[in-house]
Amino acid sequence: MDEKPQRFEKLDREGIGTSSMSRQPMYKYLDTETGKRTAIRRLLLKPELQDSFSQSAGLPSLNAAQEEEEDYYGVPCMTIREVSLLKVMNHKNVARLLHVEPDNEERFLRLYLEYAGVDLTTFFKENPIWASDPKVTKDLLKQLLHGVAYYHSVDAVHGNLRPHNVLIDIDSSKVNVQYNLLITNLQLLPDTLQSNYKAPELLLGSKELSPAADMFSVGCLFFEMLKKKPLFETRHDQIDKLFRLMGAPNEDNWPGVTQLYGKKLSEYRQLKPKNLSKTLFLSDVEPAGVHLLSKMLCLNPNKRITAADALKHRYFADVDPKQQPKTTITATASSSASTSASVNP
Amino acid sequence: MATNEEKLRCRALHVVFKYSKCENFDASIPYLAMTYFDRFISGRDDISISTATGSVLEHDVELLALCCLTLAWKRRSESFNTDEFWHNQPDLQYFTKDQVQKMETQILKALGQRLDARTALSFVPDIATKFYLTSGISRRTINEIIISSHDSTLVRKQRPSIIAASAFLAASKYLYPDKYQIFYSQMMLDGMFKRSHEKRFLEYMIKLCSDLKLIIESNDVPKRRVRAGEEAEGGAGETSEHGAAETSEHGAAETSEKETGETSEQGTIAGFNFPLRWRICEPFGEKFVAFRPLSESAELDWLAFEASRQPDLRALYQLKRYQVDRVEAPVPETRDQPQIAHVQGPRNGCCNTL
Repeated sequence: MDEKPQRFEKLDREGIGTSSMSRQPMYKYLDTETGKRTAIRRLLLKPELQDSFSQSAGLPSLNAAQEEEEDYYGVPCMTIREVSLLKVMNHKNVARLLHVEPDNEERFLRLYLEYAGVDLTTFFKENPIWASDPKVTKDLLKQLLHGVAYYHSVDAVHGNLRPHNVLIDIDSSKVNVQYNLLITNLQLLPDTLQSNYKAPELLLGSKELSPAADMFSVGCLFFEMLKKKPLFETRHDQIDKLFRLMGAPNEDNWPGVTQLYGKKLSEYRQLKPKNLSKTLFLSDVEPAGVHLLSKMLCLNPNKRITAADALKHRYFADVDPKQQPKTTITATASSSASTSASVNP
Repeated sequence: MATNEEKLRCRALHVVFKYSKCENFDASIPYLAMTYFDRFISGRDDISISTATGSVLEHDVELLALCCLTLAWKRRSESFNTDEFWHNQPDLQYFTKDQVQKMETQILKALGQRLDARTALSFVPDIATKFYLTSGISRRTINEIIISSHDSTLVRKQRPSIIAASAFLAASKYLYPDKYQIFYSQMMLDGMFKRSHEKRFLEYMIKLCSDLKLIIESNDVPKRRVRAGEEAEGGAGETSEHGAAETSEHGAAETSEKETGETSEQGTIAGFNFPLRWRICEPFGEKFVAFRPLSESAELDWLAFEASRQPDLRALYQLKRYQVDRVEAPVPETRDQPQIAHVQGPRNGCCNTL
């Protein structure tokens, strides 16, 4: 009997990381139909596996209340929303969903997401000279913001922005080397079990993923692009370190914060914000860049800069808007779609 | 002669109509559910749902409709609680969790995992721009016309853009009658309403507004409102800010915001907070019983009764097979009480008799 030819061929032995779901190595595949490289993300079809998945993934969920349900009927909401969203997303800086198939026992959906180049951390390690070029940093950040702004424009949030989910593909075949950035959403196990890119409201106990929370993560990634190291090295005392840097939240800089997180906040001393440029050793960064960073790391989510506004920031004033970005970033995002706009029934 | 698809669709409409009722009702949920259902059965001679339940089972079409409804809810509403939905209605205990799981998975697969495909509602913002000569038509009105038309099998033959455009034109026929022809010509220039079935559908939509006596409202403040299909009383046809009774030359009586007492377009279901007006289902509403094992004759009686109440349904059932006196017979009280089907066990092939 003829065996059906496999559409996806494994590309390498080393893999691209470890799956947070299965704790098994993850690999890149070649889509023989399109010639594109892909990586697999798995989503649950059976709700009874939700708990083990969430714990191992270490990811926030769109609807935490539903995770706690003991008796859930049908396909989980998170799976439905994420796949529906990825099916309609179409942006040059967002990894496309190339194919979807269930596993043999219909426990998971396998999402074959576009994969290009290497992740942000690997890019820094392998290309120290290019990575230290301020123009490259600016190009990469702009592409990242374009991808994130696209998510937010369709009423979705990424929810898991970190270096593993930002891919950079270098095209050196042209006179000017081009970097292409893609945002993707692979459930790769990070170096530390918990993400160091969480917004303060999430660290204080909020379960709600939001565009503002994404922007805080972008701020952390921006710092990493500038200094080639994470803003918060470990999750331990992350919130304390953040307050030491940006000041502790109070009713003046974040109206309503006491009512929302007063109990948790009482554990921390009242601290004043520090000079970012001095504290983070950003003297080699142009002032506009430091200003943009401070807007992204703003404690109050309601005052944090949006992706669309960040793209209009003066930091990008010397970038010709008509000029094609030399850098292309692809990010793999663990998106969680909100319910309304993209559905548009 | 109704096709099998039409018979199945009719059954699904009843199920979706009944089980979508809830607090903070959002009319887009049953609409979305029926778009999933239509896409699922499109081009199928029959619904092979045997893989969903493990064996050929009666009420497969009902399970399909219910799962389309729950998928729509999950996609659209963050507050939807599946556990509560399945547990709070005794007749839904007929199905097991495993059957629900398999059916939802099957639907997702059949739809290519695309629950966000474009529908008539998603064309509304594009078409609204063509009404720049006026202060516009309320989004809620357009939504209500589109969703109300969805009980007709006619919608399945139309492109979503035509359905949306027809809703706008139908509303303008009552709200801006003197500009209707301009709007219609504009649509024609865009390549719409050139086919005869599209023109017939537009006529259907205009009549629908009149039959349902829908309130057509403008976008301006205060809103100008007319009730389609109501004969105007005497007096001039000018709109009063305070909403006194007005008249119209086009069979539409103008009303005021105060008179209708409708809520504003606020909140999460803005634009969808109106009752579902599917005429096929209205005579039965929540009394419709879907889940119980019926003998063949009893079921046929039931279907005949449905048809007798709704002339539109006559074509769907072979009424010649039934005695007139049986068709006209009142519904016994016990029919209103849902029975738990699994007490007697499922019977094969029920849905095929529709």
